[in-house]
Amino acid sequence: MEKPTTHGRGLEEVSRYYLSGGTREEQGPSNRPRRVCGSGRIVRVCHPGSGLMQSCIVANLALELARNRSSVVVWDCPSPDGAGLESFMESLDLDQQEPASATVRLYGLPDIVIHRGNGADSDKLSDLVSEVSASKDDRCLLVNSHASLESFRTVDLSGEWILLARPDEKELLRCYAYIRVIHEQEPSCTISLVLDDVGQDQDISGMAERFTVFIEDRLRVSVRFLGALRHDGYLRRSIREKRPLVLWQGQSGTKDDLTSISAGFLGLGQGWPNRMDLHE
Amino acid sequence: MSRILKPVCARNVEYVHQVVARYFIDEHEFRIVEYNLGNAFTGNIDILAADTVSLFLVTINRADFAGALLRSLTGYRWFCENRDFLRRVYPPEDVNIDLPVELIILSEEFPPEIPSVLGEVCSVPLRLYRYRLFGQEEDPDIFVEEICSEGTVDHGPSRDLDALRKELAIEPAGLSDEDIRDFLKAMKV
Repeated sequence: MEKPTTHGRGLEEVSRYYLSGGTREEQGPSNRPRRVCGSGRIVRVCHPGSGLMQSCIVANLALELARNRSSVVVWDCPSPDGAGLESFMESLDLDQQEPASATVRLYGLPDIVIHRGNGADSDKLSDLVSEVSASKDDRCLLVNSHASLESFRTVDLSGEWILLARPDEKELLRCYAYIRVIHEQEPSCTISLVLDDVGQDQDISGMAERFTVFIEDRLRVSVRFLGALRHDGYLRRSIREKRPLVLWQGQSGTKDDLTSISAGFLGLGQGWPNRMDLHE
Repeated sequence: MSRILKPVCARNVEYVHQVVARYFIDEHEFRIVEYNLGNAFTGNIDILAADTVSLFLVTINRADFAGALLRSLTGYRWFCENRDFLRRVYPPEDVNIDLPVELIILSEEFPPEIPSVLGEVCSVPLRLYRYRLFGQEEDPDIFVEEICSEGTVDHGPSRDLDALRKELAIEPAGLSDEDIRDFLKAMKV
């Protein structure tokens, strides 16, 4: 017999989600985002062709991770042209109480702590990597460093890499060089690729497939293609107004791409439409 | 019906330089940085051009090849001796004066075997082009063809790859020429 509708049923629904001891993701309907950013995740983002876009991606990825309930810590070394993470978040409420760090506080999201680094602070970064790796809770360290390939031989490269490149042969060749050095230094690293600033008529899937197949054949490294990022007016505006694009309300192709790439990286959604086909 | 084009000798040197420059822009995607750089006493360059990986010092022979070759070589020496000055004159966003240099000589006639001779004695990459002007002296059309003796003057491919490594700052990866060629081939549709 069907249970009659009562006022108490609403309370039951609410309590099921918010008043028990389990995590929110375990309790919701099956299509709710599940928690996938496991404890102690180190993510290094690298766009050799554009320090500006590298910081832009890190800023948006940090917010997407926080939206998925991760405790995000960012190691931020501004690029030589001065494009650091904080410059992308200036319009947000930044708590600047600590001299070497800033905290992004947004209603309903875990805090994002940004540590200001420079090239000489490798010990401090190592400490942060050790701390986050050893943590039992759901923490994620995003490393926004602009180290040259030459310095890769002397620094810690462990973790997960997101490499970004424009869809042309030269930029992808540079990516190949980076992957080779990363793999030689840290064979256990996982590497993902994002194609940045793609045009409407470009065969992105084909290009990504040729690249990943070549890398697999030559280096025995499996590169995961996360997707492509179009550049639209909203992106330029978000950079100009120092407000991360994922926080914008309007319809934007670049914002959709960023969300899709983040979801693909977190394993939450489909990601790039053809991503799953690349290695089949 | 065939059309016979008679060679002409254009009197306006500047105009010839511009016609030649147009050829390199259209056919080789060069960017023209400057015309008539330097001076006849210390060495001069008819056209300074650049692409993404090289600088080109272009000399156009208007009389005898020996004179043009000497002019090209002294122009190269002038360029090397004045690089600091040129760096100040041309900001890096306009042209990278530190890119590898290639010499280009255009001439209507060449001595026999000159490509292989120059290939043996020149350490600087050097390209030779035969050109002819047709039509009217005031408004000539140009015909240009590259003269290349394989394995002699053409230092292109490996030098290009070195320049590419430098441009992308990927030397530490230790990619060989074969690695790069294989990659570029694999990325072609």
